Amino acid sequence: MTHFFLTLVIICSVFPKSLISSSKDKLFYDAVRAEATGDLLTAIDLYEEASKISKSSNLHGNLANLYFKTEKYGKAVLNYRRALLLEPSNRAFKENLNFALETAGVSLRKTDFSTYLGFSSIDLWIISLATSFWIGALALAFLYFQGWNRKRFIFPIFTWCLLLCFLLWGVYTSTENKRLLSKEVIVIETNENENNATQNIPLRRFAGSGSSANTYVNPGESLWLNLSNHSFLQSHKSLSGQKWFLVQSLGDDKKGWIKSDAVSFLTQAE
Amino acid sequence: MNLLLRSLCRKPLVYWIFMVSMHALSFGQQPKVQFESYFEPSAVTLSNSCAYKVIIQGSQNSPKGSIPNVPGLEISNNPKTFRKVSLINGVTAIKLELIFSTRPTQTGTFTIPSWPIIIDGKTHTVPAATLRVLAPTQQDIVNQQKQIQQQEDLKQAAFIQFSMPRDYIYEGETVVSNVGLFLWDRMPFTRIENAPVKQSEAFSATELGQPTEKRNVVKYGKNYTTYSWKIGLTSTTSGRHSLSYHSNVRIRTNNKRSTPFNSPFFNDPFFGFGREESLKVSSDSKSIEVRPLPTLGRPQQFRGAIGAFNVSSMVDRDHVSLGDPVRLTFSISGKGNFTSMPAPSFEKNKDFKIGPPAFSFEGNMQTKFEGTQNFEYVITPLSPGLLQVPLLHFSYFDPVLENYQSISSVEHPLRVDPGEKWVDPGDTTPVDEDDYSSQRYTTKDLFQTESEPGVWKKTFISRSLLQSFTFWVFQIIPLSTFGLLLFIGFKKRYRGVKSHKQQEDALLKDLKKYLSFNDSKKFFRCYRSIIQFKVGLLQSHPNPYSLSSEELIGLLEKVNKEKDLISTIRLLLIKFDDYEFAGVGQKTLNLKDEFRQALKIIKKLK
Repeated sequence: MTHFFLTLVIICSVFPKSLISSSKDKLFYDAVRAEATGDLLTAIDLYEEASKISKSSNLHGNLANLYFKTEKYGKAVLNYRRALLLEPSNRAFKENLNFALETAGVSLRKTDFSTYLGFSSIDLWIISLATSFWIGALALAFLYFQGWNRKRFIFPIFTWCLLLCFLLWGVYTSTENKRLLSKEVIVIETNENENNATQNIPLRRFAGSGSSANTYVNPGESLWLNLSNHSFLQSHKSLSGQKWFLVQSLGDDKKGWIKSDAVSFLTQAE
Repeated sequence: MNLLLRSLCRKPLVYWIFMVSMHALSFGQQPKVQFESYFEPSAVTLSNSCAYKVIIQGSQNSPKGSIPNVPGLEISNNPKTFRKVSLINGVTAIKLELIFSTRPTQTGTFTIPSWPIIIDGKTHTVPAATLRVLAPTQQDIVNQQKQIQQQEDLKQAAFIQFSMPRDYIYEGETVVSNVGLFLWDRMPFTRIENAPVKQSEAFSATELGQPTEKRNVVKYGKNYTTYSWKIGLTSTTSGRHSLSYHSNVRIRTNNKRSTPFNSPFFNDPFFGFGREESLKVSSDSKSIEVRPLPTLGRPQQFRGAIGAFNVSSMVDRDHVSLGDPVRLTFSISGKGNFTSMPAPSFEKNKDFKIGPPAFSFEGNMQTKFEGTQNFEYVITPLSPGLLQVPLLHFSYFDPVLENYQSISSVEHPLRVDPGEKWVDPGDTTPVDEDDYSSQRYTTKDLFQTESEPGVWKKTFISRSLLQSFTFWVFQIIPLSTFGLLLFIGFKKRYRGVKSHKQQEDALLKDLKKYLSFNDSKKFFRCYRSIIQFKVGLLQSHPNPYSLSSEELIGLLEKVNKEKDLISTIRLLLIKFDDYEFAGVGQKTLNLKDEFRQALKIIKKLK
C-alpha cells in the first residue's frame, strides 16, 4: 500500500511537468512550422501561448522577428528586450533591437543593460564582494597572528575597506538597475491606434481619455512607472474600468498618464 | 642395286643426276593410287587401344574424307601422318600413312566399312577393316586399377576446391564463394599460370585478386600449400547449372618422355635439371540450383537487390535558402548483391528538383558482397517553407527469409527560406560619411528565426545570489575558516600566559598558605610580590616583579594614590626588607593581623 502511494506521488509530481515541457516545445515547433509556411499570425499566437508557460531567449527572439515583420515595432522591441534579458550576451538580439528601435523611430538607447552595472552583473558583484571580504579577513587575521606590528596594518586595512566599498557600490547599483527593470514598461501598439496614420501614443495630464496630452511617445519606447512615496505603484482606475499608469521617461523629460493596455511590463509576461 | 647405290653415294654429282632422272620418270608415269586399311593389332583386349591405319600408295597429297562412326569404337579425329618414298626394282614408290588411335569401349568384333576418300579431286574407296575386341585379361584389370589409382593420385597432387553457402541460390543473388587451389608440397610446382577460371556461363564472378597463401595445410594425409580467392558469384539465369573451376600450373619435370604424373608418388622429377610443363588442375563439378525470384508479394520498388540490408539517410543541411542544393546521402549497408544494385527511386515531389545520384561503395571491394553502398543525391528545393525531404523507398529480397522486405529513409524536415531577391542597385555612387550611420544595419543577418527553443526559464530575471540559500550556506566555509584561524591564533599567542586575576589569586593563595605555615619570611616575600603585581598593573608594567621599593613608591605617586596608602606601603616595604634581609623579630609578629591588613591594601590598590 505504501509503495502504491509512493508511486502515485512520484507520478503526480513528475507527469504534469513532463506534460508542460512537451507542450511548450510542441507550441514552439508548431510556431516555427507555421512561420515557415508563411502563416505569421498563427505563429505569433503559438509563440505567445508558449511564452505563457515558460520563457526562452529564442522564443522571444522569434516572436520579436514576427512582430517586426508585421510592423508591430513596440512588441518587437519588447520581445527583443525580453530575449536580451534571458541571454544578455546575444549579439544578434542586440543588433536586431537596435534595428527595430531605429525603424520604430525611437532614439537608440544610451544605457546598455548588459554593461557591468546591469542586472545581469549582480551575481558577479556579489561573488567579488564575498570573495574579497573573506580573503581580506583571513589574510589580515593570519598576519596579525604572525606578529605583524599594528602600524603595518593601516595601509592593507584601508585598501581592503576601499575595495569592499567599491564592490558594495557595484552590488547596490546593479541591484538598483534590476529594481528599475521591474518598473520598466515598453510602449506597445494599441488597437485604438492601429487605424491611425501615426502610431504616437499620448501621455496625458490626468488619468482620462478626455485629458490633454503632455507629450507623445512612440511604440517601443521605454517608460518607468512612477512610484508613490510609499513605493506603491501610482495607478488609477476610471469609471469605465480602464486602468491608467503614471509613467515617466528615464530623464524625467516625459511624464504623464498612459492606458495600461498601451504598455507592457518588461519583466512580467501578460 | 646395292653396288649401284654405293657408287652413287661416293660421287654426289652422279647421284644428283640420277635422282632428277628418277623424279622425271615418276611424274611422267602417273602411278595408280591404291588403298589399304587395317587395325594394328587386329585383336586387342578391352582395356587396350590400337591403331587404325589407312595406307595410300601412289599419292602423298592430303586426302579428304570422314571415317564412318562405329558403335563400340572411339576413333581419334587427329591422325598421325607419315610420308614415305622408296625405290623398288627401279621404280619409285610413294606412300602416305594415316594412323588413327582407336579405343574399344566394348568387347566384340567391329568392322569399319569401306568409306569414300577424295584425293586430287578424285574419289576413291578405302576398304573395310575389322577389329576383334577381347575381354580384358587379369593383367589388364590390374593395369586399369593402377591407372585409376594414378589418376586419383594425380587429382590429389593438385586440385581445386570451392565452397558455396547453399545448394541453391536465387537468380541475381550474389554469394561469396571461396576458391582454393591445393598444391602438394612434394611436387615441384614453379608457378601458377592462371588463377582458377569459372567454367559456367550461368554465373558471373568478380575479379580474382591476389590469393591468400597458406602453407602446411594437411589434407588426405599430405601437406599442401593452398592459394585461396574469395569471389562474389552472381547467378544470371535460373535453372540447374553445373559449376567448376580450372587452373593451370607449371611444374618442373625430368626429360623422360613420360609425364611426371605417371607415378607422382614414386617418381620424383629432377629439381632444376628438367623442363617445365603445364598442368591443368580442375575442381569437381558442382550442380547448383538457381531459383527464380518469387513474383508473389514483389513490391513495386523492388529493383533486384537480394540480401539482408539496413538503410540510413542523412542530409548535410536542414536549413537552406530557396535554390540552395541539399546533399542527401542514402546508405544501404549489409550483405548482398551490391554489384547489381540500382539506385532507389524517390517518391514524386513537386517541391524538389532531384539530380541523378553518385554511387560509392565502402567495404570489401574484392567481392562487393559486404559493405555499404552510398547514393548521394543533390536535391534542390523549389519552394520555400518547412518541407519534408522526399522519402526513398528500398525493397529487397531476403534469400534466408525467402520474402521481400521494404524499408524507407527517415523523414528529414528542411526549412527553406525564401532568400533575398535581387534588387537593382541603381545609383552606385559612393555613400557619404554622414549617410553611413543610416546603413549600419543590414537585414542580411537580422531576423533569423531559431528552430530550437534553447534553454527554458521560469522568469526573465533570475534571482540574485543574495536570495539564494546555497550562497549563504557556502559562506559557512570561509566563516568557519576565519573562526578556526582566530581560535588557533589566540591559543598560540596566549599559551602559558595567565590572566591578571589568575595571577592575583595565585599570590593570595600562596599568602594564605604561608600564613597557615606561620612562615613569616615567605609570607612577607609573597606580600611584597602582591604589592609589586598590583602596583605594576596600575601602570601596565611589563615586569612588575622587578620593581624596587623606591620604584613602587614612585609609581604610586605617579598615579596619585592616597598619601596614607603610599606611606603605609612605604612602611610595609621597609618591614619586608627588614624581615628578609635583617631577620628582625620574627617570633613576635602576628601574621593574621598582617594578612587582614594586606587584604585591605590590595583592595585599595585597584
